[in-house]
Amino acid sequence: MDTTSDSAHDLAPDLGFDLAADVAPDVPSPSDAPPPGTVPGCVPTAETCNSLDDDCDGVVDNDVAPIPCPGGGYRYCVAGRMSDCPTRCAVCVPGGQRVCFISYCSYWGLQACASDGQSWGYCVEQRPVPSACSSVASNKKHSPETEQCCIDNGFCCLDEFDLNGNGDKTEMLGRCGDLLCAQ
Amino acid sequence: MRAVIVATVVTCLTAATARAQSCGAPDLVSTVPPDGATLVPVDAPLHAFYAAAAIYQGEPILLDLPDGTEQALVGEFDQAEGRLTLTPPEPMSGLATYTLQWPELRGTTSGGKGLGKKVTFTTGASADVSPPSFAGATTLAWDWVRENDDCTDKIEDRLSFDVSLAQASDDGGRDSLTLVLSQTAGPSLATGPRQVLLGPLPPSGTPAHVSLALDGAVGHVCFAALVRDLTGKISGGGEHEVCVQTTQPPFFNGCSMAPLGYDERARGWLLGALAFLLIARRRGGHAC
Repeated sequence: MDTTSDSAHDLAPDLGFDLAADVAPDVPSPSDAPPPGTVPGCVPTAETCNSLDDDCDGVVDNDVAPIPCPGGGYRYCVAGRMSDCPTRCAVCVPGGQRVCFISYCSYWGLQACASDGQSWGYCVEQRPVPSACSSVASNKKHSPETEQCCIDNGFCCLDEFDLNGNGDKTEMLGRCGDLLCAQ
Repeated sequence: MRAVIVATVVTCLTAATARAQSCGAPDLVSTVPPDGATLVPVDAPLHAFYAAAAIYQGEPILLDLPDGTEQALVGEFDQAEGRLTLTPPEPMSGLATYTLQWPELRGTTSGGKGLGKKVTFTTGASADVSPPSFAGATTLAWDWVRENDDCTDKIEDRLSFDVSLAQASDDGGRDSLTLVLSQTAGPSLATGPRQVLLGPLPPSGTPAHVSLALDGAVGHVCFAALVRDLTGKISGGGEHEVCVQTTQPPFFNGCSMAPLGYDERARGWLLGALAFLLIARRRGGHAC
Protein backbone atom coordinates (compact mmCIF):
# COMPACT_ATOMS: atom_id res chain seq x y z
CA MET A 1 0.00 0.00 0.00
CA ASP A 2 1.25 3.44 -0.83
CA THR A 3 1.24 5.19 2.49
CA THR A 4 2.34 8.52 1.13
CA SER A 5 0.35 9.23 -1.92
CA ASP A 6 -2.29 11.39 -0.33
CA SER A 7 -0.37 12.96 2.48
CA ALA A 8 0.84 16.11 0.89
CA HIS A 9 0.19 19.74 1.52
CA ASP A 10 1.32 22.92 -0.01
CA LEU A 11 3.58 25.11 2.01
CA ALA A 12 3.70 28.83 2.29
CA PRO A 13 3.40 31.89 0.11
CA ASP A 14 7.13 32.27 -0.27
CA LEU A 15 7.21 28.91 -1.95
CA GLY A 16 4.83 30.26 -4.47
CA PHE A 17 1.58 28.70 -3.40
CA ASP A 18 -1.54 29.63 -1.56
CA LEU A 19 -0.88 28.39 1.91
CA ALA A 20 -4.10 29.71 3.34
CA ALA A 21 -6.10 27.41 1.18
CA ASP A 22 -4.05 24.47 2.26
CA VAL A 23 -3.72 24.95 5.99
CA ALA A 24 -7.38 25.46 6.64
CA PRO A 25 -8.84 23.28 9.35
CA ASP A 26 -8.61 19.76 8.13
CA VAL A 27 -12.24 18.71 8.28
CA PRO A 28 -13.05 15.89 5.95
CA SER A 29 -15.65 16.68 3.38
CA PRO A 30 -17.98 13.98 2.20
CA SER A 31 -15.85 13.56 -0.88
CA ASP A 32 -12.71 13.17 1.26
CA ALA A 33 -14.19 10.53 3.50
CA PRO A 34 -12.56 7.15 3.23
CA PRO A 35 -14.47 4.44 1.53
CA PRO A 36 -16.72 2.67 3.94
CA GLY A 37 -14.95 -0.24 5.52
CA THR A 38 -11.43 1.02 4.93
CA VAL A 39 -10.70 0.58 8.60
CA PRO A 40 -13.41 -1.57 10.15
CA GLY A 41 -14.89 -0.06 13.26
CA CYS A 42 -13.08 3.25 12.85
CA VAL A 43 -15.10 6.43 13.28
CA PRO A 44 -13.55 9.12 11.08
CA THR A 45 -12.65 12.47 12.56
CA ALA A 46 -10.33 15.22 11.41
CA GLU A 47 -6.75 14.03 11.10
CA THR A 48 -4.50 15.58 13.71
CA CYS A 49 -0.84 15.11 14.55
CA ASN A 50 -1.09 12.38 17.16
CA SER A 51 0.23 9.11 15.65
CA LEU A 52 -3.35 7.94 15.16
CA ASP A 53 -5.37 7.29 12.04
CA ASP A 54 -8.08 9.79 12.90
CA ASP A 55 -9.67 9.82 9.46
CA CYS A 56 -9.69 6.05 9.14
CA ASP A 57 -7.92 5.92 5.79
CA GLY A 58 -5.29 3.51 7.01
CA VAL A 59 -2.52 6.09 7.29
CA VAL A 60 -1.57 7.94 10.47
CA ASP A 61 -0.98 11.68 10.52
CA ASN A 62 -1.51 12.25 6.82
CA ASP A 63 -3.18 15.46 5.76
CA VAL A 64 -1.66 17.42 8.64
CA ALA A 65 -0.52 20.67 7.10
CA PRO A 66 2.81 22.32 7.94
CA ILE A 67 2.52 25.41 10.09
CA PRO A 68 4.51 28.46 8.99
CA CYS A 69 6.77 29.93 11.66
CA PRO A 70 6.99 33.66 12.40
CA GLY A 71 10.74 33.73 11.88
CA GLY A 72 10.75 31.53 8.79
CA GLY A 73 10.50 27.85 8.07
CA TYR A 74 7.72 25.49 9.03
CA ARG A 75 6.62 23.12 11.72
CA TYR A 76 5.95 19.61 10.43
CA CYS A 77 4.10 16.65 11.83
CA VAL A 78 6.73 14.03 12.62
CA ALA A 79 6.45 11.11 14.98
CA GLY A 80 3.07 12.25 16.19
CA ARG A 81 4.08 15.77 17.17
CA MET A 82 4.57 19.07 15.44
CA SER A 83 8.26 19.92 15.21
CA ASP A 84 9.65 23.11 16.68
CA CYS A 85 10.24 26.03 14.39
CA PRO A 86 13.67 25.78 12.80
CA THR A 87 16.49 28.01 13.96
CA ARG A 88 19.47 29.00 11.89
CA CYS A 89 21.85 27.33 14.31
CA ALA A 90 21.79 25.05 17.35
CA VAL A 91 23.74 27.07 19.92
CA CYS A 92 25.45 29.98 18.17
CA VAL A 93 26.16 31.29 14.70
CA PRO A 94 29.26 29.51 13.36
CA GLY A 95 32.35 31.65 13.60
CA GLY A 96 30.78 34.15 15.95
CA GLN A 97 32.72 35.37 18.96
CA ARG A 98 31.69 36.46 22.42
CA VAL A 99 33.61 37.95 25.31
CA CYS A 100 34.33 35.65 28.22
CA PHE A 101 36.16 36.28 31.48
CA ILE A 102 39.24 34.55 32.76
CA SER A 103 40.56 34.60 36.29
CA TYR A 104 44.12 35.63 35.58
CA CYS A 105 46.33 37.99 33.60
CA SER A 106 44.12 40.28 31.51
CA TYR A 107 40.81 38.94 32.91
CA TRP A 108 39.33 39.27 29.43
CA GLY A 109 38.95 36.62 26.76
CA LEU A 110 37.24 35.63 23.54
CA GLN A 111 35.32 32.48 22.80
CA ALA A 112 34.52 31.32 19.25
CA CYS A 113 31.51 29.38 18.08
CA ALA A 114 32.27 26.06 16.41
CA SER A 115 31.91 25.71 12.66
CA ASP A 116 28.73 23.67 13.03
CA GLY A 117 27.20 26.12 15.51
CA GLN A 118 26.78 23.45 18.16
CA SER A 119 29.25 24.51 20.83
CA TRP A 120 31.63 27.18 22.04
CA GLY A 121 35.38 26.79 22.07
CA TYR A 122 37.84 27.63 24.81
CA CYS A 123 37.93 31.03 26.42
CA VAL A 124 41.19 32.41 25.04
CA GLU A 125 42.82 35.36 26.76
CA GLN A 126 42.74 38.56 24.77
CA ARG A 127 45.41 41.26 24.99
CA PRO A 128 45.13 44.11 25.01
CA VAL A 129 41.77 44.43 26.67
CA PRO A 130 39.59 46.88 24.70
CA SER A 131 40.35 50.37 25.95
CA ALA A 132 36.82 50.97 27.21
CA CYS A 133 37.22 48.20 29.77
CA SER A 134 40.95 47.96 30.31
CA SER A 135 40.96 49.90 33.57
CA VAL A 136 37.94 48.07 34.94
CA ALA A 137 39.45 44.70 34.12
CA SER A 138 42.74 45.79 35.63
CA ASN A 139 41.20 47.07 38.84
CA LYS A 140 38.21 44.80 39.36
CA LYS A 141 39.77 41.72 37.74
CA HIS A 142 37.49 38.68 37.42
CA SER A 143 34.32 40.32 38.67
CA PRO A 144 30.75 41.32 37.86
CA GLU A 145 32.03 44.83 37.23
CA THR A 146 34.15 43.62 34.35
CA GLU A 147 31.19 41.80 32.83
CA GLN A 148 29.02 44.88 33.28
CA CYS A 149 31.62 46.98 31.50
CA CYS A 150 31.56 44.47 28.66
CA ILE A 151 27.81 44.77 28.34
CA ASP A 152 27.77 48.53 28.68
CA ASN A 153 30.25 48.96 25.88
CA GLY A 154 28.41 47.07 23.23
CA PHE A 155 30.08 43.67 23.33
CA CYS A 156 28.36 40.32 23.37
CA CYS A 157 29.30 38.88 26.74
CA LEU A 158 29.03 35.54 28.52
CA ASP A 159 26.83 36.09 31.58
CA GLU A 160 29.29 34.37 33.87
CA PHE A 161 28.21 36.42 36.88
CA ASP A 162 24.48 36.08 36.21
CA LEU A 163 23.95 39.81 36.09
CA ASN A 164 20.33 39.41 35.11
CA GLY A 165 19.67 37.11 38.04
CA ASN A 166 17.97 34.34 36.12
CA GLY A 167 20.33 31.62 37.28
CA ASP A 168 21.73 30.98 33.82
CA LYS A 169 25.47 31.54 33.63
CA THR A 170 25.83 30.12 30.14
CA GLU A 171 23.74 32.66 28.29
CA MET A 172 24.93 35.79 26.54
CA LEU A 173 24.11 39.36 27.39
CA GLY A 174 24.81 42.57 25.58
CA ARG A 175 24.89 43.18 21.86
CA CYS A 176 24.52 39.60 20.66
CA GLY A 177 22.06 39.89 17.80
CA ASP A 178 24.37 38.44 15.18
CA LEU A 179 25.19 35.45 17.36
CA LEU A 180 21.71 34.34 18.27
CA CYS A 181 20.20 31.34 16.56
CA ALA A 182 16.53 32.21 16.75
CA GLN A 183 15.24 35.06 14.64
CA MET B 1 69.88 29.93 18.20
CA ARG B 2 68.09 32.84 19.81
CA ALA B 3 66.48 33.75 16.49
CA VAL B 4 65.16 30.23 16.13
CA ILE B 5 63.64 30.34 19.58
CA VAL B 6 62.06 33.71 19.01
CA ALA B 7 60.67 32.55 15.69
CA THR B 8 59.20 29.48 17.34
CA VAL B 9 57.56 31.52 20.05
CA VAL B 10 56.14 34.03 17.57
CA THR B 11 54.80 31.24 15.38
CA CYS B 12 53.09 29.60 18.32
CA LEU B 13 51.54 32.82 19.53
CA THR B 14 50.31 33.60 16.05
CA ALA B 15 48.76 30.17 15.80
CA ALA B 16 47.03 30.79 19.10
CA THR B 17 44.96 33.58 17.65
CA ALA B 18 44.62 32.51 14.03
CA ARG B 19 41.39 31.04 12.76
CA ALA B 20 40.79 29.40 9.45
CA GLN B 21 39.39 31.72 6.83
CA SER B 22 36.62 29.24 6.12
CA CYS B 23 35.34 29.58 9.66
CA GLY B 24 31.81 30.95 9.61
CA ALA B 25 31.93 31.83 5.92
CA PRO B 26 28.45 32.56 4.53
CA ASP B 27 28.91 30.06 1.73
CA LEU B 28 26.23 28.56 -0.43
CA VAL B 29 25.90 24.98 0.79
CA SER B 30 23.53 23.38 -1.69
CA THR B 31 20.84 24.10 -4.24
CA VAL B 32 17.52 22.55 -5.13
CA PRO B 33 17.45 21.76 -7.97
CA PRO B 34 21.14 20.87 -8.07
CA ASP B 35 23.44 21.50 -10.98
CA GLY B 36 22.53 19.21 -13.86
CA ALA B 37 19.02 18.47 -12.66
CA THR B 38 16.41 17.38 -15.16
CA LEU B 39 12.62 17.30 -15.17
CA VAL B 40 12.42 20.50 -13.13
CA PRO B 41 8.77 21.56 -13.08
CA VAL B 42 8.03 24.65 -15.12
CA ASP B 43 6.19 26.25 -12.21
CA ALA B 44 8.90 25.60 -9.63
CA PRO B 45 10.39 28.11 -7.26
CA LEU B 46 14.14 27.53 -7.06
CA HIS B 47 16.06 27.29 -3.80
CA ALA B 48 19.61 27.73 -2.53
CA PHE B 49 20.69 26.91 1.00
CA TYR B 50 23.37 29.03 2.63
CA ALA B 51 25.44 28.63 5.79
CA ALA B 52 23.97 29.91 9.02
CA ALA B 53 25.91 33.15 9.09
CA ALA B 54 24.64 34.36 5.70
CA ILE B 55 22.48 37.42 5.36
CA TYR B 56 20.66 38.47 2.21
CA GLN B 57 20.66 42.11 1.23
CA GLY B 58 18.95 41.94 -2.13
CA GLU B 59 21.89 40.70 -4.14
CA PRO B 60 20.67 39.89 -7.68
CA ILE B 61 20.08 36.34 -8.80
CA LEU B 62 20.94 35.97 -12.45
CA LEU B 63 18.72 33.72 -14.54
CA ASP B 64 19.82 32.93 -18.08
CA LEU B 65 16.84 32.14 -20.26
CA PRO B 66 16.90 29.62 -23.11
CA ASP B 67 16.87 32.48 -25.66
CA GLY B 68 20.14 33.79 -24.29
CA THR B 69 18.81 36.78 -22.40
CA GLU B 70 19.64 37.29 -18.77
CA GLN B 71 17.32 38.43 -15.99
CA ALA B 72 18.53 39.94 -12.73
CA LEU B 73 15.99 38.98 -10.11
CA VAL B 74 15.55 39.44 -6.40
CA GLY B 75 14.83 36.47 -4.20
CA GLU B 76 13.23 35.95 -0.84
CA PHE B 77 15.37 34.83 2.08
CA ASP B 78 14.21 32.59 4.88
CA GLN B 79 16.73 33.18 7.65
CA ALA B 80 15.58 30.25 9.78
CA GLU B 81 16.18 27.77 6.98
CA GLY B 82 19.05 29.68 5.37
CA ARG B 83 17.07 29.34 2.15
CA LEU B 84 17.11 31.85 -0.68
CA THR B 85 14.15 31.31 -2.98
CA LEU B 86 13.74 32.58 -6.51
CA THR B 87 10.30 32.44 -8.03
CA PRO B 88 10.63 33.07 -11.78
CA PRO B 89 8.32 35.92 -12.77
CA GLU B 90 6.57 33.70 -15.28
CA PRO B 91 6.46 29.94 -15.79
CA MET B 92 9.55 28.52 -17.39
CA SER B 93 9.50 26.95 -20.82
CA GLY B 94 9.14 23.20 -20.99
CA LEU B 95 12.08 21.02 -21.95
CA ALA B 96 14.45 23.97 -21.93
CA THR B 97 17.82 24.61 -20.32
CA TYR B 98 18.28 27.40 -17.79
CA THR B 99 21.34 28.66 -15.99
CA LEU B 100 21.09 30.28 -12.61
CA GLN B 101 23.82 32.23 -10.84
CA TRP B 102 23.17 32.19 -7.10
CA PRO B 103 24.80 35.22 -5.47
CA GLU B 104 27.67 35.50 -3.03
CA LEU B 105 26.26 36.69 0.28
CA ARG B 106 27.79 38.55 3.16
CA GLY B 107 27.82 37.11 6.65
CA THR B 108 27.20 38.24 10.19
CA THR B 109 30.49 36.96 11.52
CA SER B 110 32.92 37.74 8.71
CA GLY B 111 33.63 40.72 6.55
CA GLY B 112 33.91 39.17 3.12
CA LYS B 113 31.46 37.44 0.87
CA GLY B 114 30.98 33.70 0.82
CA LEU B 115 30.66 31.40 -2.13
CA GLY B 116 27.84 31.52 -4.64
CA LYS B 117 27.22 28.98 -7.36
CA LYS B 118 26.17 28.67 -10.97
CA VAL B 119 23.79 25.82 -11.72
CA THR B 120 22.32 24.60 -14.97
CA PHE B 121 19.14 22.58 -15.13
CA THR B 122 16.59 21.38 -17.64
CA THR B 123 12.89 21.72 -17.19
CA GLY B 124 10.38 18.95 -17.66
CA ALA B 125 7.29 19.13 -19.78
CA SER B 126 4.78 20.16 -17.16
CA ALA B 127 4.01 21.60 -13.78
CA ASP B 128 4.35 19.73 -10.50
CA VAL B 129 0.91 18.59 -9.49
CA SER B 130 1.43 15.60 -7.22
CA PRO B 131 3.08 15.39 -3.83
CA PRO B 132 6.26 13.38 -3.44
CA SER B 133 6.08 9.74 -2.50
CA PHE B 134 8.34 8.79 0.38
CA ALA B 135 8.08 6.29 3.21
CA GLY B 136 10.52 7.99 5.57
CA ALA B 137 13.58 6.85 7.47
CA THR B 138 14.41 3.15 7.53
CA THR B 139 17.53 2.50 9.60
CA LEU B 140 19.94 4.41 11.81
CA ALA B 141 23.62 4.00 12.58
CA TRP B 142 25.84 6.13 14.77
CA ASP B 143 29.49 6.71 15.53
CA TRP B 144 31.72 8.98 17.54
CA VAL B 145 33.87 11.51 15.71
CA ARG B 146 36.58 13.84 16.98
CA GLU B 147 37.76 16.51 14.60
CA ASN B 148 39.64 19.74 14.89
CA ASP B 149 37.27 22.62 14.36
CA ASP B 150 38.18 25.49 12.04
CA CYS B 151 36.58 28.06 14.28
CA THR B 152 37.56 27.01 17.77
CA ASP B 153 40.95 25.50 16.94
CA LYS B 154 40.18 22.64 19.27
CA ILE B 155 39.01 19.10 18.87
CA GLU B 156 35.25 18.90 19.02
CA ASP B 157 33.50 15.70 19.99
CA ARG B 158 30.37 14.81 18.09
CA LEU B 159 28.15 11.82 17.56
CA SER B 160 27.47 11.30 13.90
CA PHE B 161 24.32 9.63 12.65
CA ASP B 162 23.62 8.01 9.30
CA VAL B 163 19.91 7.83 8.60
CA SER B 164 19.00 5.49 5.77
CA LEU B 165 16.03 6.57 3.74
CA ALA B 166 13.31 4.87 1.76
CA GLN B 167 13.03 5.42 -1.98
CA ALA B 168 11.53 8.74 -2.95
CA SER B 169 9.92 9.94 -6.14
CA ASP B 170 8.03 12.93 -7.42
CA ASP B 171 6.50 14.10 -10.67
CA GLY B 172 8.89 17.04 -10.47
CA GLY B 173 11.86 14.69 -10.43
CA ARG B 174 13.79 13.25 -7.55
CA ASP B 175 16.43 15.96 -7.94
CA SER B 176 13.87 18.53 -6.95
CA LEU B 177 13.23 17.09 -3.51
CA THR B 178 14.40 18.62 -0.25
CA LEU B 179 14.96 16.40 2.76
CA VAL B 180 13.64 17.55 6.12
CA LEU B 181 15.25 15.46 8.85
CA SER B 182 14.08 15.92 12.41
CA GLN B 183 15.40 14.62 15.70
CA THR B 184 12.36 13.27 17.48
CA ALA B 185 13.95 12.00 20.68
CA GLY B 186 17.09 12.97 22.55
CA PRO B 187 18.29 14.42 25.81
CA SER B 188 18.12 18.06 24.82
CA LEU B 189 14.71 18.16 23.18
CA ALA B 190 12.72 20.42 25.42
CA THR B 191 9.51 20.67 23.44
CA GLY B 192 8.87 19.06 20.07
CA PRO B 193 11.01 17.42 17.42
CA ARG B 194 13.88 19.55 16.19
CA GLN B 195 14.82 19.98 12.53
CA VAL B 196 18.47 19.03 12.24
CA LEU B 197 19.00 18.80 8.50
CA LEU B 198 17.43 20.59 5.57
CA GLY B 199 18.84 20.24 2.09
CA PRO B 200 18.88 18.19 -1.09
CA LEU B 201 17.76 14.60 -0.77
CA PRO B 202 20.92 12.45 -0.88
CA PRO B 203 21.39 10.13 -3.85
CA SER B 204 19.40 6.95 -3.73
CA GLY B 205 21.02 4.49 -1.35
CA THR B 206 23.08 7.14 0.39
CA PRO B 207 22.11 7.85 3.99
CA ALA B 208 21.53 11.32 5.32
CA HIS B 209 24.33 12.35 7.62
CA VAL B 210 24.06 14.58 10.65
CA SER B 211 26.41 15.29 13.57
CA LEU B 212 25.21 16.37 16.97
CA ALA B 213 26.94 17.69 20.05
CA LEU B 214 27.11 15.19 22.89
CA ASP B 215 24.64 16.94 25.14
CA GLY B 216 21.97 16.40 22.53
CA ALA B 217 22.99 12.99 21.32
CA VAL B 218 23.80 10.65 24.18
CA GLY B 219 20.97 8.36 25.21
CA HIS B 220 17.79 7.39 23.41
CA VAL B 221 17.93 9.22 20.08
CA CYS B 222 15.39 9.04 17.27
CA PHE B 223 14.94 10.65 13.88
CA ALA B 224 12.16 10.95 11.34
CA ALA B 225 12.27 12.24 7.79
CA LEU B 226 10.01 13.62 5.11
CA VAL B 227 10.63 15.33 1.79
CA ARG B 228 9.12 18.32 0.10
CA ASP B 229 9.13 19.24 -3.54
CA LEU B 230 9.97 22.57 -5.13
CA THR B 231 6.37 23.65 -5.08
CA GLY B 232 6.10 23.05 -1.36
CA LYS B 233 4.12 19.82 -1.29
CA ILE B 234 5.29 17.42 1.38
CA SER B 235 5.41 13.66 1.51
CA GLY B 236 4.35 11.29 4.19
CA GLY B 237 6.85 9.17 6.03
CA GLY B 238 7.28 11.48 9.01
CA GLU B 239 5.46 8.98 11.17
CA HIS B 240 8.27 6.44 10.78
CA GLU B 241 10.88 6.89 13.51
CA VAL B 242 14.25 5.21 13.62
CA CYS B 243 15.91 5.05 17.01
CA VAL B 244 19.15 4.07 18.63
CA GLN B 245 20.60 4.02 22.13
CA THR B 246 23.92 5.85 22.16
CA THR B 247 26.46 5.89 24.94
CA GLN B 248 28.96 8.40 26.19
CA PRO B 249 32.30 7.72 24.50
CA PRO B 250 35.21 6.88 26.78
CA PHE B 251 36.67 10.34 27.01
CA PHE B 252 39.77 10.03 29.12
CA ASN B 253 41.70 13.19 28.45
CA GLY B 254 44.86 11.85 29.95
CA CYS B 255 48.33 13.26 29.59
CA SER B 256 48.91 11.83 26.14
CA MET B 257 45.51 12.56 24.60
CA ALA B 258 44.32 15.80 26.13
CA PRO B 259 42.44 17.74 23.45
CA LEU B 260 44.64 20.78 23.54
CA GLY B 261 43.56 23.94 21.84
CA TYR B 262 46.07 26.20 20.19
CA ASP B 263 46.14 28.42 23.23
CA GLU B 264 47.26 25.57 25.44
CA ARG B 265 49.63 24.18 22.89
CA ALA B 266 51.13 27.61 22.41
CA ARG B 267 51.58 27.94 26.13
CA GLY B 268 53.36 24.60 26.22
CA TRP B 269 55.67 25.54 23.39
CA LEU B 270 56.36 28.86 25.03
CA LEU B 271 57.32 27.28 28.34
CA GLY B 272 59.51 24.75 26.56
CA ALA B 273 61.19 27.45 24.54
CA LEU B 274 61.87 29.56 27.61
CA ALA B 275 63.33 26.58 29.46
CA PHE B 276 65.55 25.85 26.50
CA LEU B 277 66.65 29.46 26.39
CA LEU B 278 67.55 29.43 30.08
CA ILE B 279 69.58 26.25 29.71
CA ALA B 280 71.32 27.63 26.65
CA ARG B 281 72.19 30.82 28.47
CA ARG B 282 73.56 28.98 31.49
CA ARG B 283 75.75 26.85 29.29
CA GLY B 284 76.92 29.89 27.43
CA GLY B 285 77.61 31.84 30.60
CA HIS B 286 75.29 34.70 29.73
CA ALA B 287 73.24 36.61 32.28
CA CYS B 288 69.88 38.42 31.78
